[in-house]
Amino acid sequence: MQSSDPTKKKSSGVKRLVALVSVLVAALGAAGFYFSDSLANIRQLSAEAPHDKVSLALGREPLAALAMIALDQKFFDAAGVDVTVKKYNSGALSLKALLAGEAPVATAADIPIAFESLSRQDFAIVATIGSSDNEGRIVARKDRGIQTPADLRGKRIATQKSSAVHFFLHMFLLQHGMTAGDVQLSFMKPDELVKALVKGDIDAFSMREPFASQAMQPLGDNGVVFTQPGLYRKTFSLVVRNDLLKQNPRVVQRLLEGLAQAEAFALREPEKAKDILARGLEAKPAEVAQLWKDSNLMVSLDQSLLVGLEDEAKWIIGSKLSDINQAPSYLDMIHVDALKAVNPVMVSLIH
Amino acid sequence: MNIRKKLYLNAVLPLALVASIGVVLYMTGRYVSDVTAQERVAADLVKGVFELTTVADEYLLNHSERAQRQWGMKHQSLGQLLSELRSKEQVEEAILARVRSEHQGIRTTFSELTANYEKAAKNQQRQATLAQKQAEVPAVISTGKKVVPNPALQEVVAEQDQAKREAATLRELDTRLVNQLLSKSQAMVSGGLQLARINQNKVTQTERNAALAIFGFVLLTGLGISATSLLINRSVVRPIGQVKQGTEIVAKGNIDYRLGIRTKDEIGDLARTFDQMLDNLKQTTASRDELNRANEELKNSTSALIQSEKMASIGQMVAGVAHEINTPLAYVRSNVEIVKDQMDQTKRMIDAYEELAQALTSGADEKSLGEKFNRVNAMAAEFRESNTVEEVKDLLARGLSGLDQIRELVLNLKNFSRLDRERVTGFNLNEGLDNVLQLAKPVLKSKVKVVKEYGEIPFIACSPSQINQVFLNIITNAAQAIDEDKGGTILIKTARTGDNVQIIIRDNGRGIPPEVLPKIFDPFYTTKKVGEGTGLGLSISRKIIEEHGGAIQAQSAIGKGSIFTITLPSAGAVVELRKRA
Repeated sequence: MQSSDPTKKKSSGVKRLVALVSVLVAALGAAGFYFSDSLANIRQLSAEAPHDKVSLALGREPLAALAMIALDQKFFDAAGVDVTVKKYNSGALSLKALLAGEAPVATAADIPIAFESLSRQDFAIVATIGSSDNEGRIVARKDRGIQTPADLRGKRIATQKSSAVHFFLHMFLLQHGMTAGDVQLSFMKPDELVKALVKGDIDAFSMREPFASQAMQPLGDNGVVFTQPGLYRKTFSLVVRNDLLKQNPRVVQRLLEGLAQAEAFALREPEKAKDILARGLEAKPAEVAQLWKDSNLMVSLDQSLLVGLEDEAKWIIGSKLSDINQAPSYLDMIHVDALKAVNPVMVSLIH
Repeated sequence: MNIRKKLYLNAVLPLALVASIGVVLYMTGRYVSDVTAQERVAADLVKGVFELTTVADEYLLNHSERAQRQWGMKHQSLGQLLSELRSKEQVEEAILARVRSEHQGIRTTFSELTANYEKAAKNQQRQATLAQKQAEVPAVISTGKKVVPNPALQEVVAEQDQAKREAATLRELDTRLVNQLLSKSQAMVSGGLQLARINQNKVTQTERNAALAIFGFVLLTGLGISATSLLINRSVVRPIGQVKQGTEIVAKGNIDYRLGIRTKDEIGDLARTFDQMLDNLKQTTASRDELNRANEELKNSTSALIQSEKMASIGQMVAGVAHEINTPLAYVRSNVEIVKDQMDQTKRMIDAYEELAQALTSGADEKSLGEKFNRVNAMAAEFRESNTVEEVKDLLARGLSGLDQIRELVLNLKNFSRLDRERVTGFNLNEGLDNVLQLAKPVLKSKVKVVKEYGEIPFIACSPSQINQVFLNIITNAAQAIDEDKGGTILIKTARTGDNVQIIIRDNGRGIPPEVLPKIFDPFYTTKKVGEGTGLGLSISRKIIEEHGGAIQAQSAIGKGSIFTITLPSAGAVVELRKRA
């Protein structure tokens, strides 16, 4: 029995189909080319090149939360950079470590940066990673007659020199009509402050969490904590040595990419983020909850950083805390290109 | 899917795609509108922060109460705006949270700043009072003999120093607070700008996405329409082409062809039915071929039978003819024998005459001459007495008559089978009937009286031998229907009826039973004994008549006889018929 043989017709049909698909693919290709900017925006840095390696001097401060999250969640790794962490009790110490050549990248607050920038300008701020205007704590012993801030006059008060808590103490005293000259000011390392206060070597100290809580625990009712929300807006930044910026600017972009992912994680999973911070600070979750509330964790660069640094430099010079009496150009010490490449929206600093 | 659904889909799909594009455009428009609204709000926020900063700057310059009030109003309205702002995006909400936080912080800083300014103003006033007091208080006082510095003045101076220190502290705090205010203002501006940029990017991105979506949907629409058209082409147009091609192939006679379309739609149904029809047709054709073969065989058999019938008829006829010939031949022969015998007597007389003549010429004696003369006379007298000459003449005359009968019979026979099956254009039926009657004489015998009522009829175009065969058959049947002991009549009547010629052959024999009458023209139907008839005589007769464009009918009544009516078209009518054909 014969049957119809549509091979010829079939092949012509297939040809037509192939032609149609080719036209559509060409059209889609043209569209893809036209919209390539959109596609470029979603590219991943990690996919482009082999991993970089870098050491990070991490100041274990509440405002370093994004760095802690990025490390914990391996966001730096995902962004294509293997980070070796060196932990320090404060941003001031980690900045010193950077300047000592222990790590090319550090996290530090505005005051240490302002202090160190007077003598050295071989580093740059690449992004602010957090800010808070309620971080400073004055912890005092009641048995030394300190019940109110005014009672601090003439007392032995210690703090970490050239740090944000130093500036906070200055502001706090001013707020209450005092200057450094009205108290017996001394300087110590963060972990020494707690011991000294508990031991009674000093009457009060100016510090932040978790040290304030660490001191209050043994002092119990004998301790008193003074805060002043809104008095001083502290910023915390990622600082990079210039030689690294010059040699491998890509690693900085990758670090910022990892921090941006950490920022998204903190917004998405705040409870997990708080746990990570608590572990990083070795603090209790309750303490961290208040810190979290007072912190703005965001990778950005804005004009307030410049204003703050310049004012703080004036304070340092005016208070004769440094031998140098000339502040550098902070605009030149802020590197905007890396963050601009990663997230241009978050760069509002006029440059 | 059937064709109706496919066509419905073809009509609806582009509509659905266009509707989808409409929905995408509408949604995009709405989204762009929302994002634009957010962008405006972000712009309002930035504007508000700038205004707040401007008023703060004004306050910082002249510390006016109006500027302080305006700052409070602006801060409040900004707070209102911030409290109303909500975003679904986590990043935007985080920026908003930061701006709100800065907004609260800046209030504290501004309050501290104004409080500090009031303190500074009081300090200034105090210092002025102290300066005045210092001017009024004498520098020294005399205590009897001694003039000593005025302790009151010293107190005033100490107070002045304290006031100056406080002023320095207040100035320092003022400086720090101003910078804090600036820093926080900048942070708020940054937040506002970031929100604005995010929203700008969203608008740009949304517009791009919308363009991409529209482009994609247009492509999809094209693809969808093309795909549907291709689908319909593949599943409708092409199968229709296959069906058309198939029908053409089948129309050319190839009934082995099959469409083989297995789609589950109307065309598939049509193709299956078509293929089924071809299967049936093939079976029917096979049956038809078989029938044709059978028919052919039957035809051959029929021809054989017809031939056999014809041979039987001829045999019968020949028997009659032989008889007819035999009878005159017998007496011709008898007469000839008598004549031959007579010829012996004549020879003896001639011999006697020759002896007498020889004796006369040879001069024989008288005695012998007398004897011989007497013998001749005696023989002549005997010859005369026996009337031999008359007898021989009579015998020869009757012999001639017999020979004439034979000649006529042979002529009739010749006429009967004239040209056999060849058609002639002008045949006289009356003559034909006469011929047949002649040939049928042996059958008719003496018991049947034949009455001829021949009318004036036109010649017809026919095959005479076939028509004669019909007449012979019917007349023979009629004769056989007449009982020998009773005798009977066969009436043969011819007449013209319009363009036709009618021949009626009626007998008054036994007649045909009513149950037999309808079957008499059926092939192989016979009431005769086996071997006597083939049952084909009347069947063949009807066939012959019908082939001549005529008709044959039979009527009969038991005991009264039968009437066979034959109608044949006249020669002119046949010519007319041919012309029409």
